[in-house]
Amino acid sequence: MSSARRRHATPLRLIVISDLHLGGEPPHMMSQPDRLAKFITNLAEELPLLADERLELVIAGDFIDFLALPDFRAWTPDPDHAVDKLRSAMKSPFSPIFDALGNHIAAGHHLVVMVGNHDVELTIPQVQEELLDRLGASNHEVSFIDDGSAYRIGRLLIEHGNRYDGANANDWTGLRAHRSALSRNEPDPVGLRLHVSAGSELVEGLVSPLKGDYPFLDLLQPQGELLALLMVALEPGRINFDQIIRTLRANRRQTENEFGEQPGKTYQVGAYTSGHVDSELKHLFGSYYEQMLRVPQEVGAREKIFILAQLRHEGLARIIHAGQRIPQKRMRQIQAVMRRILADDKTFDQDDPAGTYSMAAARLNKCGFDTVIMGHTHLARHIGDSSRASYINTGTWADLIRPPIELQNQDIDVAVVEQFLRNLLAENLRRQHFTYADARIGPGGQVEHSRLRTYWSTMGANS
Amino acid sequence: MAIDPEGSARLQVWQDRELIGAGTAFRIGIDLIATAFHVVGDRRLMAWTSDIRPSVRCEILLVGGTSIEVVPLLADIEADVAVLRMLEPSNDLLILPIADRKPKKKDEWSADTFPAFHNGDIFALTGEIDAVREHDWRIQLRIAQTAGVKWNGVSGSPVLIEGHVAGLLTEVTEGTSVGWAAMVEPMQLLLRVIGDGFLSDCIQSITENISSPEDINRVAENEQWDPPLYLGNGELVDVTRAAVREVFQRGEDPLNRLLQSLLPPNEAQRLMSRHGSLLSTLGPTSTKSISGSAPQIIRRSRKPMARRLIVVSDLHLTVSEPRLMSHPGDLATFIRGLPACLRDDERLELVIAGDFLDFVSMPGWVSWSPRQAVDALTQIMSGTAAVVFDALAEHIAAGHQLTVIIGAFDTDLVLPQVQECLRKRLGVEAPDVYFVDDGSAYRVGEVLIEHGSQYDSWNANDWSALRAYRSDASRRGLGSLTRRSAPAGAKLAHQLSSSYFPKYPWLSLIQPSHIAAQLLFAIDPKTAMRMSWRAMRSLPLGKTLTSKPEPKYATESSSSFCTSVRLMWSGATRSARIQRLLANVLQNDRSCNTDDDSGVSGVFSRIAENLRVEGVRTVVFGHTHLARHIGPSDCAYYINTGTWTDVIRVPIPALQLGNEGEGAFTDFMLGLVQNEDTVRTRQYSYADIRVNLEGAVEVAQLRVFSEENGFDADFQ
Repeated sequence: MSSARRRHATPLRLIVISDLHLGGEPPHMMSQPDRLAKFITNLAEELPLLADERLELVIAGDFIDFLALPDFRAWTPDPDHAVDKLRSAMKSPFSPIFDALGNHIAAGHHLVVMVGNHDVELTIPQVQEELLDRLGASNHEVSFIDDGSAYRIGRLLIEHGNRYDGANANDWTGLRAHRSALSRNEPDPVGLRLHVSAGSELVEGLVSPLKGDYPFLDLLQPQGELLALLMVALEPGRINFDQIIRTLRANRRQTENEFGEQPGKTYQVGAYTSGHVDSELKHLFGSYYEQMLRVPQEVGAREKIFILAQLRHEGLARIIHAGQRIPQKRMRQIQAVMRRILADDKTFDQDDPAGTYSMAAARLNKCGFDTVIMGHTHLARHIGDSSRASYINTGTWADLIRPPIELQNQDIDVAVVEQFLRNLLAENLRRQHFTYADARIGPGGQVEHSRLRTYWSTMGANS
Repeated sequence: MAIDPEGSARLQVWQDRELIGAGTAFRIGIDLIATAFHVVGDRRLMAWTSDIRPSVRCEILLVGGTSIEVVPLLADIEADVAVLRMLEPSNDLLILPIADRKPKKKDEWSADTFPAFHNGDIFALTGEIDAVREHDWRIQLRIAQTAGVKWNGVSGSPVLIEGHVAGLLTEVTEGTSVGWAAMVEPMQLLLRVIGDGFLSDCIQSITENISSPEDINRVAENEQWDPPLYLGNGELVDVTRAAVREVFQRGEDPLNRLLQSLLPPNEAQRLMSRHGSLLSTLGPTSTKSISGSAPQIIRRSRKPMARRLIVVSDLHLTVSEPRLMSHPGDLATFIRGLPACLRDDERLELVIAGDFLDFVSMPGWVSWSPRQAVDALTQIMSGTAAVVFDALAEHIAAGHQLTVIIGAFDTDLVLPQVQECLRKRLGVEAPDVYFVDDGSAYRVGEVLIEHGSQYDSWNANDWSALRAYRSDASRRGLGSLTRRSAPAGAKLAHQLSSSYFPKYPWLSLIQPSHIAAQLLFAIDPKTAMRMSWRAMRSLPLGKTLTSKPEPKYATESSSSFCTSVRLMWSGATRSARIQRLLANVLQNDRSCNTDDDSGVSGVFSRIAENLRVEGVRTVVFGHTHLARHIGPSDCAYYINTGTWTDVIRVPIPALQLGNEGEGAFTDFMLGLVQNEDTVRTRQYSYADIRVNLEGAVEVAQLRVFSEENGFDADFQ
């Protein structure tokens, strides 16, 4: 028996988190799973939940990071293999989170899991079943939004947001067909070849192979061409720069999409070039930078990024671990890139309205939604009225890296840059910023309040 | 007033001066008593009697007639166990020790009760334990004192084994010697929660209000720290002011230190780890109320239970005339009757396997916007079918589950706006109703359920298009969208429903369905020709199915149709020709035989067989409107759930040649043309499936619910 079910007429208290990126091998993207477990466990008490409210927790995409789980493939279509990956993600140190979610459901609260771009395997019925089994719940207690739809509650809309990112949009048609076939045990789902997103290809081809040497790679924000140039400075011999740029271009085009519309499929997106030339980067990176300026012949998500298997002596990780001196040119390259990352960095600027996502949200606002909530970017945002946002981005519970502000200074001592690099490799620059959306939906569907909030777990209080 | 020296007391529930309930209670703590929840609450509504009725008070009667008021504190509704607090603790009632060993079969038990037939005076029951069910914490008792009396008043009695409480009596089956009791585990859980909750209050007040030893006296005067702390098995710990003061004077971490100084190490560790989760488990108001007097009802963490699936399909609820289902009240009665047939260890789930609603027959369906789809659903739900939605709402409110699979005639149910409208009508929220709305089959252990239209080229949905349509709709209001895709069969049915069904309402009800055209040819050849032309134009030529072999049964119907045309013009009188035609067509008809494995049913049966791989034992379809049970009688391989719409069949006497047969045939045709209810029949078929904890199918049967007799005699 569940508690009284006639609850549709009562207000709904909605808590939205996203981009947890659970799973993988140490160092994990999320370094503090116990904090999240505590947050979920104490949610009703610490909000505090009012007597007339129902509680629903929404995980708005990238709950599990299947890309970070061995074998690090961009897409795992085999249900047994995908289930094994999920099982490994639910083990220590992440098991308290699943215990907490199980208790959340057992206490009569709801859970909604939206599929993002790092956990498309959650569309597979056997994977959903495994997760439900771990939570001790049924499909009548946990909702999966696994078909590309937005989740709408009255006049509030939630989606992961990767739909507006050409490099990371999911092939929902293929995923649906795959799921439908697997529900009937059909081994080969109508000869389907899923179109894996360019972003996932990038992770599989670049980030995962290099993560062992550069564990901060998947944490550094924003990711894009500057990151590619940084990779050139770190590992000039190991990456196929041309292919990386082709893939990134799909993303670049989307960031220039001023209307916030859903783009076409990644593999159909044409190339983009801004025409702007950065003379310092051109001087420091030479032919690499010129490649960035050229229009690639094609943009293809199916492009496989090739990483040279052997370690090169000029790799920065190798140099630092060997206690050798970092060449001056490499230092200047890194400094230039970091200075630009910092100049563009709005990671902790929560009311910065720029970006495709807030534009997409503005378009959805015009469709009758008071508040639109997204994740995906890892950049927490609250745009609009302080008590009722028009757009919230829930940020991430994975770690973030914020370079020291001193790096912005052009005349900075190279010793500071060197120390920064050593700290980066020693994992000393990780920060956590536990953000979530807190909304209350009235019985008539109206958004009574919607705010971005920060969880200060050490203090056990919210702000 | 008599009082049992072992510790039981009569518990009475009063509304003003009227006695509205009575049972037995026993003492389990300084100020705590236990009884059966149904004595002091309503299990269906999951609420205390004092919350649903005004001016209700509960009391227990002690030695010398002293009454003590008791107030609800915590309950485990599933186990039917409640704990109440005495407002004036009294030592006239003994605290009963809780047994430290599990009861076992053949153990002798006794219980002191206060039944009504004994004027509320003490009455001893004794007997043996028949069974101990660990999975749901229940004990089956054999009662030595079998009597033809009503057992009112015994609920809540302590079941004692060797002087220790081993259970709490909850039910006695009238006319038998069988009783049931809850094991002590739920009671221990409640005690633990009360203790934890009280401790949480203490901790909270300490952490909030005490920052120095000087604060202790001030806070202690305002806080009710006198009641003892209850742990499992009735163990008591006093949280005294002195103990708290001592902890603070040591200047150590108050929370951790307090627990460690008061409790055994393992208990302290447990409470520390549970401190947070406990609070959320109890809900939003619990932290402040446990140690106060406000009543609480808790959910016990769910034990895994076997699943009882009841599958119906093809209900075709609509508002357009002619309605396919003429007696929706029968369906409501069926849904309401399901829980009574449920076993104790089962969880009930009603699955509607497609064509729940019939949007296709409604005006303008082809070009509906989401708003029009919502309006149409609202009309259906407030029309004659409203009773069905009332019954479904009750079904969910009682804690049972509902799953809706989208079929060919209700594809608008994929829209989030339409799903939301249905949920609102049923008084629930997502995901209390689970929609299978993406073309997937619904899997429960070894059972695979789908509507089946996916294997019929006329009616296969384009699920990719529907997914895109839903995804688009999820980001918009109720405005117009691009048109949703619709299968050819549904489009044809929509055309026919506006053009022909009002005049010939039997067309959509006649079975086997392929004789509809033949009958129409007999009655109105011109219209039949027009309709046939439309149908042929709508044939989905060259269309392929998503993933499975196409059955092509539409072609089969067409060939029968051609045969009938030839027969129509082969001589004899018109009436005799028609009768001869039908006799010929139906001579080998086995469509009403539920074990028939030929024709259309044979095609679906073979598809089901193909699906029975890799852990699928039973396949359930709807769609054909032809109920089927293929395979062993207790565990079918393939079930078709038929339909709950009316059905028209040509009666067998009307197919006999000769004068008598012709007379019967003429009567049938008249009834058909005049749309008389007498030609309609109903066969309410459904699949009854039990899936055990391991996912194995234990029972899978096609059953029939009768409007006169209700459920099968062996449906339990």
